[in-house]
Amino acid sequence: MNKLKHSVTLYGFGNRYVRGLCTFDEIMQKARGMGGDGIELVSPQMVPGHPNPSDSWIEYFKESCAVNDLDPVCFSIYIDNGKHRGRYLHEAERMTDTIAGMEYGKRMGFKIIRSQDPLLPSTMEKLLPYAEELDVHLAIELHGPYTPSTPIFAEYAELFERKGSDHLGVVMDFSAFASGAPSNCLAIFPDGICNKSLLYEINKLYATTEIPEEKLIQMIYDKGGDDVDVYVAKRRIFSIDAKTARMGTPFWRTHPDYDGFRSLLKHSRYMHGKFYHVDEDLLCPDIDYAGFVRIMKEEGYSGYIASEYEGDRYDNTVDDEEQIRRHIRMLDKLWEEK
Amino acid sequence: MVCKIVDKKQRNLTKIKDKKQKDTGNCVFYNNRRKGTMIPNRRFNMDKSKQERINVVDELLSRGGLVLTDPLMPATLKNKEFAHGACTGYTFRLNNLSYRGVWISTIESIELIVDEEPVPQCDISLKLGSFSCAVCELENNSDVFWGVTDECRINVNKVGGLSKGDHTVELHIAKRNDFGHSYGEGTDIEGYMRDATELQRSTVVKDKMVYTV
Repeated sequence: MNKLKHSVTLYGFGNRYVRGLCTFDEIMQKARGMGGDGIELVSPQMVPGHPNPSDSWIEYFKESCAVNDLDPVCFSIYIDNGKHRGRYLHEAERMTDTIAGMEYGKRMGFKIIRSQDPLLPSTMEKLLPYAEELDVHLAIELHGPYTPSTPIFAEYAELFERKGSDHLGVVMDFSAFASGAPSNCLAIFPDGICNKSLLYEINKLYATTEIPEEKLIQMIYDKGGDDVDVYVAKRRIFSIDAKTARMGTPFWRTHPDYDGFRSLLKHSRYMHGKFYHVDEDLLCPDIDYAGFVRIMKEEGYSGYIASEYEGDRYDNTVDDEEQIRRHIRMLDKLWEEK
Repeated sequence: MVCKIVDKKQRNLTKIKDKKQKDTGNCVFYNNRRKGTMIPNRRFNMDKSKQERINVVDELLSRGGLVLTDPLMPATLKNKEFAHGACTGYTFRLNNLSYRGVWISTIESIELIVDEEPVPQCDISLKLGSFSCAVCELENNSDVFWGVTDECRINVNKVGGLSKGDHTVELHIAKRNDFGHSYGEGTDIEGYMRDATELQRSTVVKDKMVYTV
């Protein structure tokens, strides 16, 4: 069996970079020590002059990769549909922005260009000749709350099947397969606002069983919780409600879309190993990594997986570098298990 | 309710004394400069009512994920002084509003209140590198990107500037998302109005700070 290839997304250091607490050079040095085989760069976040970086910065970046022995793997670009009040981007705008992203990414040495689902399948098809000419893999990120069965991803899957091209594909983000709310989702609340230990217990039951929400709510009251605890549970733990799921964060409890994950794997060269916490025993309680890595092995996945830490959204006191290292160790352990 | 900035290094770098204020019901917050987020002070009143606790929950959850919520940059307000004591106004810096930078055109409004007096829109401009624009015209500049490390300033026209002493500056920024997961063609205005609620709904970020000139 081949070795699992790891990527470290520099996005994981974004919070500190934005705050001016570390430089790009320092981030590259940190990424080097993480155990990754390559890196992902989020263009608007860390490329000065985005969306048109200078030649000198591109040369600087390539030298930095060489010095730090880091392979540029994935260049992330966006479909910024919010730019114009009152309308989406036109197709010509989406194409222009994406071609520019592919060209700059290629010049920086990246092989995979990650875009977003609002690019639209019909537009992606028109971009295939450009991806072929540049010899890059243009991939659409599948991010929660969407899943492989969301209609637009069914359309993308149809495109991938019909074209059968190695230059088009998908980047699956594990946020789309979360069983429950992050296990540190209540860290933001000061003591005394809600009964955290009780709610974490409920969160675990929510992620690992199919006990109906009404019964879990009754359980909160039975165990001494009050209306505020129920309010917090509804807003922070139970968010599978159909009305909010479209733009919220649905959690799939015991039935994340394993089959959809398996069916898209053959179009995947890179995935976002999103995670919120890995504990000392290398367990990630919010996402069934064991189940998904098993599928990756069964299907002979040979691409990269990026360790994408987002736990700092919920608890910024955790050592994020240690979390990324643990995530890589967890994946290797699961990959090597028989 | 006034809280001290906890980052001593930042505080010692300047003689200007800024006080960051966040008042959310009875809960006091202080600014964690290392991580850059407002985190709760654990010395809050243990006897909160249910409604007060819900208010705290709502406040904390309203801040969103990685969107930064404190646009006023401490210790950056100064009068724009020229030779012979001429002064055309004052200026201060903004922290970026996003984890990945923003398009200027997504900023729908910037309101400024200084010492409890609203500043006329025509006197406020935003400066980003060589780009400068009246705040009411920002949405027409859809090709200007404010990168996360770019220096961005608010310039205010006020002959004579601000007097020496403390001044309370309050800033309200309304901004819509740069991107989202709703999708469609630019020609499909009806579909946009029906589906793209995440792009139509702007978030208002409020910040308040006492600067000393």
